[in-house]
Amino acid sequence: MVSSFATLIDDVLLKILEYLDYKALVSCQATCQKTNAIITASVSLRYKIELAACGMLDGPRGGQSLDITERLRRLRLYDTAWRTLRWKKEESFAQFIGRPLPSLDRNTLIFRNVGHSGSAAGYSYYTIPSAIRGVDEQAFDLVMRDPFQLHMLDASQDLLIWLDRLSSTPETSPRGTIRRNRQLPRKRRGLRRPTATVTTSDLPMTGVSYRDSDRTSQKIDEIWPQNYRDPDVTSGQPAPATVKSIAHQHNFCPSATVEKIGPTTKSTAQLPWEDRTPCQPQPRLSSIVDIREDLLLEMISLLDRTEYIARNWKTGIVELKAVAGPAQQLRLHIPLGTFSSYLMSHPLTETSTSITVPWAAWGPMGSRATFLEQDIVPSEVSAQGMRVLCMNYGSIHREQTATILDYHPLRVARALMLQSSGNNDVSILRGGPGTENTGFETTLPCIATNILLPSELPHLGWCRGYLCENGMVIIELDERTSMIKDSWFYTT
Amino acid sequence: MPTIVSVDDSTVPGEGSSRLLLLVSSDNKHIVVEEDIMSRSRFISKQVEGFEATSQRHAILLPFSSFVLNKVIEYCSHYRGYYLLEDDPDAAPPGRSPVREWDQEFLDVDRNMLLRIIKAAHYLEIKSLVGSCARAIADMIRGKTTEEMREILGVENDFTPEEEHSPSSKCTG
Repeated sequence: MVSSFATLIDDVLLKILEYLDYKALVSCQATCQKTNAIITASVSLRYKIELAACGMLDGPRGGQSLDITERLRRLRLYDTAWRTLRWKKEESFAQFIGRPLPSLDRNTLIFRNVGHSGSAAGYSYYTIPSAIRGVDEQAFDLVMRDPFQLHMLDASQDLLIWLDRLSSTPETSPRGTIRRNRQLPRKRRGLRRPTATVTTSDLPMTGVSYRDSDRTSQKIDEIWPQNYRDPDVTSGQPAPATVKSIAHQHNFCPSATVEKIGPTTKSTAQLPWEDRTPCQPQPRLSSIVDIREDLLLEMISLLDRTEYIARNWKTGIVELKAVAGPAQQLRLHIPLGTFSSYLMSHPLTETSTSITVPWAAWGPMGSRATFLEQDIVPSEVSAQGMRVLCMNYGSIHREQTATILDYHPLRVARALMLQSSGNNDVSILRGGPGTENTGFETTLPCIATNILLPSELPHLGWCRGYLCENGMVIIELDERTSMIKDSWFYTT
Repeated sequence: MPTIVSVDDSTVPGEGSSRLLLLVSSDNKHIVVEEDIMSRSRFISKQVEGFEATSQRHAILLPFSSFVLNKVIEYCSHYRGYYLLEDDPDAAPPGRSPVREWDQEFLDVDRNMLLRIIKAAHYLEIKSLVGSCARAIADMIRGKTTEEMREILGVENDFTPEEEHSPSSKCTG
């Protein structure tokens, strides 16, 4: 007799289904009534399918994040808004003559101001209005006091992300700070300068110091509290005792999950540069074992998986979480010198060098993420989030966290369109995920009078089209020069 | 069906501090295991608590065969003394079981056996084993077509033709 999995009770079947990806789920849904009913009834499985269909990644869970029902509700809301877009009337805007090529970030055209005599370099933003989405027309300038490396806007236009300038000293590092930018003017055509401040990167990069974290069963997260002042650089004050509690307020970050771990061992070795820490000798913990360096290295190489937790530039100690066998986790404190020499000889290539940070619409407003890696390059903003390259000296897997405020399905459309802009064909959208197959290619010319049909385009050199998230299309035409020949703006 | 056997602690040879349990499978095999091996099972733990209350120890009757039971005992013995997050009733339930290599080898059995093990694990309330089995089953059907899935899962297509052609999931994208 062939036993059937349909005899399993629903709870167990649901457990099995939870391990499937969305493709398998969709196939599985078609196998029989029972699985169909289970999948339809389960919010988390519906969410998984619909999320994938929209080409989105999920945001971090836990903490103050939204629960899954709310995520599904929002996802459907956005999806509906996306499907029921109506192209209404054409409207053109004054062209920005004499400025460099604009770039489009979310709904905002961004012009770089090179900085004329006496004025600092900065950016001008022009938000493209949309009646449907309730986006107001806005214009504002942003002038930075300090040079900065990169910046991005999120879809909801109230979040500005920038990365501070790279610093060459080993004790500092660039930190990308994401913060809610409440200063962006809300009123129409308001032209104000928001008093944005750039966080200076003069603090040495450390994680939360683990001098006081002798409870090894708690994972330490690395968010710098704003009010933390380095004891040695400034006035010799000890680190405030509130460091830990501040850090744990941000427990929506994936790195902040508190895990119980199994039998724990601690090992440490002497610091190679003891003279850098004139104050506060490392307290001896009862579980600390001194291990010879070569033995330590051999130990690391035998471990199944090591995970980078934190490093302290001041003491020069790298903290690793290591997994050895089932349910056994170790926390290792290794001097940086030893650690890097280990990396030189054992490059761990399988770890990722680029990570997509999902657009976590789901986090609470105002959440932020701090990147503590030495060399972080946010390379692109795609449908799925911000892609971050981590030049990580080879290897240890490192979690990046970023919490963004809004999510929008139209990102998918834009990403798809930009991908296909290599040839002379403006393909607006060809039935991407989450859309009807008809796409916009046929509907667009009917309502927009100024647009060129794709068949007319080849003689015009290359062109580039933007589909803004509020439903507007911007097309730049170019005759193999860097100048904009003409621009059309179509609005909703 | 096995008859209820009353067990006295002295009738089974005690070894160390761990007490012994008598498990009776559906094919009436009597299996003696140490109590702390089976403490991973919430079902067994509750039974044992019941014993404490009545100060009477009985055999525990289980509705599956000794073959399956032995397999479950093998699993529990392997993780004897280990802390597994999924089995902690106080911990927040993790979304998925972590991948454990030993489990993957352990569950490298045919699908009928896997089905029996997951049923037994669910009956015994061993969440880690249920999770690992679920992962193993999911691995079997991942990437398969609907038709292949039906074969693996042993289910019949019970949709009417209309239902089959209607877009039951509009989100296939």
